Amino acid sequence: MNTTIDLRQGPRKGGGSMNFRYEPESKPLDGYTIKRAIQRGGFGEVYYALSDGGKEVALKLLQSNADVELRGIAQCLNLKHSNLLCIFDVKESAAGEQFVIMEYVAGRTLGEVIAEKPNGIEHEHVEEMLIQIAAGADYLHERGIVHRDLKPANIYLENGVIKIGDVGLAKFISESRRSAQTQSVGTVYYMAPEIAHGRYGKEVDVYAIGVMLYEMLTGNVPFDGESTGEILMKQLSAEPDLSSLPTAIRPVVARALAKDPEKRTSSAAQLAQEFSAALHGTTSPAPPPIPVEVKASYRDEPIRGERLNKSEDRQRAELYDAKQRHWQERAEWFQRPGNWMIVAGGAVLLVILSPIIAGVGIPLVVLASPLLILLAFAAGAFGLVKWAINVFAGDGSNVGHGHNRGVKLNSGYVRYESANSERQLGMLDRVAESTGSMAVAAFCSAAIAFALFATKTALDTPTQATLFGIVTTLGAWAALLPAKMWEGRGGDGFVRRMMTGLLGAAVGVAAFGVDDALMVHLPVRSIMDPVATQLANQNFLPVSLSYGDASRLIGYIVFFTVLMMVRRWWFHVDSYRPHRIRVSSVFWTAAAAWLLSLTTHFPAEWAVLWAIATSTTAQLAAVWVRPDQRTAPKA
Amino acid sequence: MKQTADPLRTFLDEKRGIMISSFFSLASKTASTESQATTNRYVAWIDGVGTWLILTGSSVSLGRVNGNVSPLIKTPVSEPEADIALVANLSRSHASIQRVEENYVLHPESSVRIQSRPISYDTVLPDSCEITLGDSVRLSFSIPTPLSATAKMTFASEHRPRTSVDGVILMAETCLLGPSASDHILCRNWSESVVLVQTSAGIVVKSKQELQIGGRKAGTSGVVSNGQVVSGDDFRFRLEPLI
Repeated sequence: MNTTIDLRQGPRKGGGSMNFRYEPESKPLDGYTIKRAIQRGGFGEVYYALSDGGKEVALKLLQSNADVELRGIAQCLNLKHSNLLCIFDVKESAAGEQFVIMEYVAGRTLGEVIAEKPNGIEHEHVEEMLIQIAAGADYLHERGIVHRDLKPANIYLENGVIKIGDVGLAKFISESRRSAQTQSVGTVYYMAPEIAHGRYGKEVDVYAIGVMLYEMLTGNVPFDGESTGEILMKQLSAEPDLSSLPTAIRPVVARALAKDPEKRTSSAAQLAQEFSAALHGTTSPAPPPIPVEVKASYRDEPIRGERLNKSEDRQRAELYDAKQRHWQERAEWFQRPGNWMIVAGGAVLLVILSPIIAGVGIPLVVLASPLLILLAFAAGAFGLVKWAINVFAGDGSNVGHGHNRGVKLNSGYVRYESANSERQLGMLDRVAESTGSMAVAAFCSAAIAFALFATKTALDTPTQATLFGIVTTLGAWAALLPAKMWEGRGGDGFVRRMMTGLLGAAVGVAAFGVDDALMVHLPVRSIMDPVATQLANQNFLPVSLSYGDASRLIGYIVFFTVLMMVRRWWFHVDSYRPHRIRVSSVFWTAAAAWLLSLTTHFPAEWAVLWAIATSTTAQLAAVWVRPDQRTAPKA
Repeated sequence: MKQTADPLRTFLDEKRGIMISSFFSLASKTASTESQATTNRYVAWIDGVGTWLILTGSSVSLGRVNGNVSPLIKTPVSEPEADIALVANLSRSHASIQRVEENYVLHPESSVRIQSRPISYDTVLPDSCEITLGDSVRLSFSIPTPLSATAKMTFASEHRPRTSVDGVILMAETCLLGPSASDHILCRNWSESVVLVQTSAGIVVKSKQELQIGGRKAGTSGVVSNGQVVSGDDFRFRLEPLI
């Protein structure tokens, strides 16, 4: 026998055993003949009956705690509204049972109407129904009555007229139900979060109508789950996915489903008005600004808050709001004590390291400058060739825009070469975020180096650890600094790679300097022996290098240049990246470093460790804005 | 399962046997038919499902309700009323539908449209169509399963008889009640289908479950008479004859 109950429908249909107390043709109430059972609800059995005069009625037999329910019904017995199911009377049978005699509705329930349209009901029809549901609910609310159990199974549609049922019954039931956990499980889909705190204002009904509105539009409830508990958890904490709704309707539904009853749409009628306004394109009566959730250029995230039909003024206003919020977030970041600690720690580390940086870095920059110039020339030449290819290939129009594109790959996954995160950033923002990230990066690198040394996993001596830490810091900085400058701006991926490569070369030079100063002397060798020989015999640098040193210098430069060039570092550290830290990014960076160590004379262990540490540090240190706090892109 | 799951098929197999045997006992059968069959209109009151009008005749008339006589309340009939009598702006006899073998032929006596096309002469109904009577009465007509000639009609415009009826079954030999879309009367929460079969002895109910008819155990099939209540493990209905 079929005992499974569809959670959505609840035990409405009285499936399972048909053990209704009264058979057809029985007459428990004088003057009424029961013809058939309609359903078994949370409140007892409901029968279809004909009066002796031929009037069809629904008889509700109250089963448990009838006197409690009767109190609720007494309050609603004489309410009259075209959208409320009419209660005719309450009567006691000869056997002492309480029957509620109600209007019989031949139509379907809203649940059945929704089930027929699994992809959502036409918006005009939704509007018609919503207006009526809201009218019925508002009528109750104005009389100080909260329905508390609004759900599609309780709402009937007959000849296009909505009738809300079970008025006055739910009030007392819902309290006892929470302890019993039996009966209408279907209700949890429509249960407002504050019910968990025992709060039952009219906002509860507005929330339930909001859930039904979502369900009518999409065919699904906003919060679904395997169990009652899971659904309740989602009601409490999860945000509804509004991506399948038309843009104009999203804020209306979002506000009706607000977790905080204070922030929710103020009344059912207001909800219906806002919906109509959004549907017909007129501005709704003063909706307070709500955070517009916006998708960055990452396809991983659900598309939210796309704006299509808004006026420019409105867009500008929202952009302004977004900027304001951004500054507020920044201020809040510095107000948190933990963040201060990070900044302070980074500063201390910088002070400690400053003699080394000054002692090694400055001569190195001097030493490396001709090399940098050489590389810059190479980059320029490469760019020129590329430009020429574009021009001669007849694709001149693209020159200057280059790779700023969303390339559609076979899989349909759109990959953005230059992560144009469209985040609005001022110069001051960039500087502020960069310095913060640099401090954090220094701190992180030091921590990683210390951990590797302390656990004796890779680094054997304190000097090795120092070398590792400093170079990791520099590598992370080389990733973070340009990325921050590019963030929110369009740009050519190739140019970006060349520039990070250039910075990588600088890191390599610095790494050589630190290596030399600390006398670690990693077994790094050049793959370009003639160049190293040339460098050793040079007479244009202020310092003279032995062949071994020159070879090591070039080895470092090559490794870090290529490492910085092969990965899209600016993409990995973008504020709007999908996840704060992505393990796959770290993995592929490590893989690239390993491959590099195979083709160059660079110790594989160090190569992979550096790559992992640099990628991890850069991602950890980079500012990351949570998806729900991301602000609007420029129109 | 070795046996076919479809109770209708089972029935059709059995029917072949009956046809052969009935050839030999034709005379005695005719006599019993006259004493048994008193009505060709029933109301099925189905718990948790709804109310259906079941018409077993090969011809049904459609029209407006007549004076103060209800098709569902047993009051004496003063004037003949259409088999499907609706509270609507129709002629007393607006149209009739005749079953001719596997087909249904609509005979218009007043304004009738099929799929919004006006009809002025006898027309075979498509397997699924909308019939419009007068200006506003719309009926959805369909033959839910090709295995049976039985058709069903529902009220698309919500015009109904005096009391609420979910739909009308134009029953040929069988009427299926059950959870699948090919059942004539959709009973969502039932675990399996139940078949009503028109026989000379009256309507027979068949099921895979043990049935109780009129409160008595009846095995898996039995004749329903005099508005008895039929119940199984997960269903219950009453078949009320209309005189």
